[in-house]
Amino acid sequence: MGVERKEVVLKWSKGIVTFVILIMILRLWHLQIIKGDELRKLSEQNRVRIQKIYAPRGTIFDRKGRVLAETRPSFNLYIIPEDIRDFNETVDGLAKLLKIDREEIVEKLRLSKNMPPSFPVKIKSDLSIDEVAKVEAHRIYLPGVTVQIEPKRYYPYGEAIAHLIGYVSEISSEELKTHKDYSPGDYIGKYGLEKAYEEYLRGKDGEKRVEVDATGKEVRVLKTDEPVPGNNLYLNLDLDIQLAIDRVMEKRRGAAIVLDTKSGGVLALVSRPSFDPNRLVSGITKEEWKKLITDKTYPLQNRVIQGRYPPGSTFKLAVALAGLEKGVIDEKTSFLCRGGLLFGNRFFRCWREKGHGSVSLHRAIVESCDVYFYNLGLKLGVDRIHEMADLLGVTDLTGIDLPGEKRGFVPSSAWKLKALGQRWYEGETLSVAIGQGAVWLTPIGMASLASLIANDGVFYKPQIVNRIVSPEGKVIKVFKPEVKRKLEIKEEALKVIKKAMWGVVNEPNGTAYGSRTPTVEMCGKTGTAQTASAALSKGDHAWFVAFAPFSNPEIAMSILVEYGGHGSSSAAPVARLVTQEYFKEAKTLKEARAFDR
Amino acid sequence: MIDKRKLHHLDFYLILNLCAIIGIGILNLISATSSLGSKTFVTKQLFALAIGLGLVMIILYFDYRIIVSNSLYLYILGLSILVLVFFLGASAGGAKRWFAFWGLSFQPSEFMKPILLVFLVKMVEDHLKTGSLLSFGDIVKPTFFTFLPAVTVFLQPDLGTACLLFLLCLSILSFVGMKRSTFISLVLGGVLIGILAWKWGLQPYQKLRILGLLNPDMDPSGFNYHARQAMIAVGSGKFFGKGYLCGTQHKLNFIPEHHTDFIFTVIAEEWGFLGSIVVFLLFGSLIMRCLKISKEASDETGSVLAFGCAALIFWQFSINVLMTLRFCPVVGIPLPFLSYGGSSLVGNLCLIGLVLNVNMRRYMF
Repeated sequence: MGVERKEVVLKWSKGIVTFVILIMILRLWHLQIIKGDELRKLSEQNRVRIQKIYAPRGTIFDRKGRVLAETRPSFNLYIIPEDIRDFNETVDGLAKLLKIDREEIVEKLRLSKNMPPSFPVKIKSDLSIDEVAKVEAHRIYLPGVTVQIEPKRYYPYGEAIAHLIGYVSEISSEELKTHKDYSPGDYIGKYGLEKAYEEYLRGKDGEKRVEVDATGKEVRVLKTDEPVPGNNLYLNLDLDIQLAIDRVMEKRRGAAIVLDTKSGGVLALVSRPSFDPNRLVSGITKEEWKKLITDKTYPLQNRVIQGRYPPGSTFKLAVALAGLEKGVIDEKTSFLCRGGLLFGNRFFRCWREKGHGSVSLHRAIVESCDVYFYNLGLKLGVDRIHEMADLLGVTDLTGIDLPGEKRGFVPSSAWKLKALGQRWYEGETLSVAIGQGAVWLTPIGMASLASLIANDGVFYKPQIVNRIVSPEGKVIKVFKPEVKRKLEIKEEALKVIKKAMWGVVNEPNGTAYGSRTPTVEMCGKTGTAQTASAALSKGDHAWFVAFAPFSNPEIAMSILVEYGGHGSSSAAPVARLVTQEYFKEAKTLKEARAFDR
Repeated sequence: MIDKRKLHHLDFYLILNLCAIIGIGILNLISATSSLGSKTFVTKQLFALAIGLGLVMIILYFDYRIIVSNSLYLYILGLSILVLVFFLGASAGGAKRWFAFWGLSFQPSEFMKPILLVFLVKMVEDHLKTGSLLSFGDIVKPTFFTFLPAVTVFLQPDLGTACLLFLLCLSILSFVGMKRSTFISLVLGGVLIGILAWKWGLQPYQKLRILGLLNPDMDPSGFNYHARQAMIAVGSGKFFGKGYLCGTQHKLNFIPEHHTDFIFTVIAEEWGFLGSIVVFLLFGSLIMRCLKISKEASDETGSVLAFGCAALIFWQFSINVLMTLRFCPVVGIPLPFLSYGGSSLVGNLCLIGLVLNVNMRRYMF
C-alpha cells in the first residue's frame, strides 16, 4: 500500500469524523439552545404534577348559630388521562366496577380535553365505603384511576330549607365559559344563597406541586399552597320557625315567608314541594334531573319569590288603602251587602250568600265582605287601584338576597289597551277589587304589604344574610337594615287598616278568629283565591297575610297554601303557629338582635 | 519485561485524553446511578477498569504483530464463547447476551469487537503489503468471518453489535482499498441483507424503532416513548445544564437504560451544551490521535490496526450519540468509556491498548 493512498484514506477519515461531530453539535444546538426552553418545560411537566386542594366552603348558620350547610369529607374518584395505559381497559373496567354508564365517563373526559393530560378528571363524587374498597382492590388493573378525599357540601336539614340555602354542584360546561377562574370538576353555587353568595362562600383552592417519577408515583412535595376556606354566613333565619312551618307544610304545596318588620330580616322561608339538595350535590343521573325539572308540581321553583298567584281577599287591604287615600271613602262609609251585586247583567256574589247587611270598612275587612269592595272598586276604578298597588310596591321586586325573584302584576286600563288592544270594562274592576282577575302577586310581595302596614309605612328590604364572617372570626360584612320604601299616605288610613286586621283575628266575627292566640295579638287578613283549576275540583288557594303583635309589631308574614281551600282554615293556622313559636322565645330573640348590632 | 525505552514511546497524549474521558465517565456514572439505589454500579465499573488496565499491560507486553499473527486462536475462542452464550447465557430483558458467574457477568460480544479486528487485520495483511486493491474474491473471506459472529450476536438478539461488526469489516476493507466493482457488489449485498433482515430477521419492536425515527411524533407514549424522553432530557439541559446530580429526567426514571445506552442524556441534561461539547471534543481528539498513530505506524499491520481501533470507537460513539439525539434508530450500542458495563469498558480499553502498542513500537521494524 502506497504512502500516498494511506494519506488520502486517513484524510477522508478525519473529514468524516469532523463532519459527524459537527452534525452532532448542530443537532445539540438545535435541541438545547433553540428548543431548549420548550423541552425544559416538557421535562418540568413530566415530573411536576399540580394537585388541587379544594378549599372548604364557608358554613351557613342560622341566627342562633345552628349549622344549615357545612362541609364534610368525601371520597371522589378521578382519572388522570396521562396515566391511562389502555383507554378502553380503564374506562370499561371502571364502568363495570362501579356500574356507571361508559358514556358518562367518556363525556367527563371530553369536557376536560383542553386541560393538560396530568389534570385529574372527576368521574364520580362521594363514593361509598364499598365502592372505595372495590376501586382500591382493583387499582393495578385500572391505571390512571385515583380516589381522593375532598370536602363535600352537606345540608343537615335537606328539603326543609332547600329553596333558601340552595345547593352546589359541579360546574357545567356552559358555566365554565363565563366563569374563567373555575376548572372542570369545581363546585359552584347553583341555587339560593349558595348562588347569591358564591364569591364569599367559595374560598380559594390551594395546590400542591409534587414531583412524580415515570410511573406517576409521588417522590416528594415541592410546594404547597394551603387553601383558604370560604367565609361563613350568619343568617337572620330562625331554624325553629322555619322547621315549625315546614312540618305543617311538608305534605302540602305552598309558600310561607316571615319577615322581621323592624329590619327586613327573613326569619323563615318555606316553599313546598321541595327537593333534596344533598342528592344534587352528589350529582344525579340525567334521568333523575329530567324528572326533577319536568315534575308538574315544580319542586325546583321557589314559590315565595317566583310563584305568582291571585291574592284573593288579601288584596282588599290594598284596595281599602286606595279608597281611604284617594278620599273615595272614609272610615264610616257603608255599603249594603245582600249577598251579591248585580252589575250589568251579571250577578257578582259575596262569599256569604245571605249577605252582610250594611257594612262599614272595618267590618268589610274583618268579615271580608266582597260586595263592599265591589262598590269601592267601582268608585275607585282600576287605574287608581293600580296606582295604589304601585305605591305600596306589592308588584315590585323586594330585593331579597336570593336570585330569581319575580315581579307581581296588577292590571290597568292602559295596560289592557296596549297589551290586548281592548278598552277596560268596569265589570273587570269588580274582580280586581277582590284580588281576582288579572291580579298576580308573589307571597313575598304580599308579605311586603303586611310588613309595610305593620311598620306604619316603612318597609325594610328583606335580607336573609345578617353578616359574613371570615374563618378566623373577623366580620367581613354586616348587612344593615335598609329602608326599601317609605309610604307617604295618610297616617289615619294605615291605623284603620291595622285595626281591621286586628279584628280579623281577634273579633268573634273575624274570618280568622279561630286562629287567635291567647298571649299575643296577631293581626291578619285571610284570602281565598279562585283558581282556574277550581273547576277541576282541585280547590282554591288559601292565603293569609299577618303581622304580630298589634302594638309595635315585630314580625310580618304571608302564607299561601295551594289548593288549600279557605284562607281561614288552612293558611291562618300556620300564621298562628309562627306567632306562637316566635313569641315563645321572644326574649332571647331580642337579645340575639342586640348582639348582632 | 517491557523495555524501558519502549515505555518511553508510550503516547501520553492519548493516555491523558483517555483519562479525561474515563474520569468524566465515572463522575457521570455516580450521578446516573444515584437514583438506582445501589452503589455497586460504580464499584463494579472501577473493578472492570482495573481488569481493563491489566489487560492493556498484557497487550503492551506482546508485540502487536505477534497478537495479529496468533489472532486465529483468539477468533476461535471468541466465537466459541459467543455460541456458548447462546445456549448457556443468562437472559435479561428477553435477550441472551450475558455470562454470569461468581456474581459477575460479562458480555462476550463486547470482546468480539477487538478480536474480530485483529483477525481482520491478519486477513488483509498480505494485500496491504502488496498494495493491490481488493477484488470480489478477496473480500469473501473477511466478510464471511465477520458474518459468523455478527449473525450469532444478531440472534441474541443484539442488532447494534451485529451492525457494528459489519461496519468494522467495511472500514478495514475500505482502508485497504477495493476495486470499484467489489465496492458496488458489497454495497448491493448490504442492501440485500438489509431488505432480508427487514422482511424476516427484525423483531417488530426493532422495526418500530426505525419507523419511530422517521415519524418522531408518532405514538409518544408508546414505542417512541424512550426516544422522546431522551430528547426531552437532552434539550432540557439547555446551555449550562441543570447541574451535576440535578438531572430530573434520568433521576425520576423517565429514561430507561439511562446508565447504559442512554448515558449521554445524563451528560447533556446535567452539563448542558457546554459539557456535551467538551465530551464531543475529547472523543474527536481521541479518534484523531488514533488516526495519527495509524499514519505514523512502522508497518502496514500497525497502521490498519490503529485505524480499525479508531473506526470502532468512532462508530460506537457516533451511533450512540446520534441515537440519543434522535438521528439514528435506537439500537443497543453503549457509549465507549461512559456507559455502565464492564465488558464494554474492558473491550474498549483493549482497543486503546492495541493503539498504544502500535505507537510504542513505531520505531521497530
